[in-house]
Amino acid sequence: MLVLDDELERMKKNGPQEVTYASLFWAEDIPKIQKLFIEGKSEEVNEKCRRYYDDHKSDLNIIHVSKTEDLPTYPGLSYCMQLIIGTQTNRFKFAIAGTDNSQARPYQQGLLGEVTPRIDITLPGNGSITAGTTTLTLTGIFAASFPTAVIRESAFSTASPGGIYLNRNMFSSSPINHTSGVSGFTIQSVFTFAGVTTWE
Amino acid sequence: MGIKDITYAALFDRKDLPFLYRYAEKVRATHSQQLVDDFNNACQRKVDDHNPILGDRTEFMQVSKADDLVVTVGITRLILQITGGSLVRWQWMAKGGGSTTPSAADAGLTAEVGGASDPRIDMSLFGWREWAGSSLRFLAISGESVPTITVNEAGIFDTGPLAGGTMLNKNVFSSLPITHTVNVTGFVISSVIDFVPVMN
Repeated sequence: MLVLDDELERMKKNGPQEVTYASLFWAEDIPKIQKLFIEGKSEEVNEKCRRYYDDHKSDLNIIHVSKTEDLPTYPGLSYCMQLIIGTQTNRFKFAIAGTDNSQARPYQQGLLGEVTPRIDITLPGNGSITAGTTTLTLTGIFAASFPTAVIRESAFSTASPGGIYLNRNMFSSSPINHTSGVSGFTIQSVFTFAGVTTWE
Repeated sequence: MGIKDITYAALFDRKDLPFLYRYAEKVRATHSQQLVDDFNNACQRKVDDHNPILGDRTEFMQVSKADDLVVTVGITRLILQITGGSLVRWQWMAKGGGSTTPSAADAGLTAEVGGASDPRIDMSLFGWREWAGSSLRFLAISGESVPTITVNEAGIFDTGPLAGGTMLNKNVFSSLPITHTVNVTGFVISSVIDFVPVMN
């Protein structure tokens, strides 16, 4: 039986919940995806990716979707506290992808097999930052020119390079296989915050 | 699980208020989380029927504790603060006489008490707004000139005027609420909001 360390268990059980999807598209479809994001339809695209993962049909030509339920990091949440109080102003705006398949831990501040470049998701057509009622969704679009890689890990950070990592995810099952010039992909991370009034 | 809030309402003799103002000023100047922890731990000890002393001789007359919640509109604002969609900060502590059980859907106190001569407390001047790890810590000191009130409920807001603004949390002191008497006592409301709570 797998024994989780205390901090990992605490984050998984008590912390904000996080789900990340990696969605692979044909290279010729990436401009259409980017256009939809520029038009403010990022959640429409993201929802189709999530539904595709659940075996629904999609009018987007999605090749493959991988899903993981990993972790916000403690330094990332600590940085969120500073953003809330107002002592920091840099946002989580860089999407990062990598190839390492080490298990995600809540103190990790970096991908173990990062493939550059990082994507600035605040630039038009590069992704989106969407605030819902109790959810925060960050999405990065990795264009067809991104180097060939099997995408097994992802994160969002405040800077490039370095920065504070908000989360780290590892796609342990059926990761997407991106080929430069042939495909492109998106990484979307959905964070859910909820208030509780009693101890479990 | 999710975001957990614990709030203390502590009653003091008015002669102890100058010490409390200096204490809060020191926290604001140094951001010493030791001082913040000392205060909240002393509140918990008073709740547990001990007789803690703050500083050399500051005794708690009474402490009431609420274990209520961060409300949905507060979470939405927190997310906007993380993304940069809102630059408004949590600055004001409100009090009230309502005793309705808090709900995540609440957007205000049930029976907020105050007015032009008894405003919400500005925590940037008469308290603190701090962060540590994955938690936010707020404290507000109400002086002896505040009209007599039984503090049944409290909440943190982003604007000063009575009954206005967005509410972060709502707490009802259902058991033994403190009763402040004008020109005799002062009181302190302290909230700790933890994004990754430790379960007892």
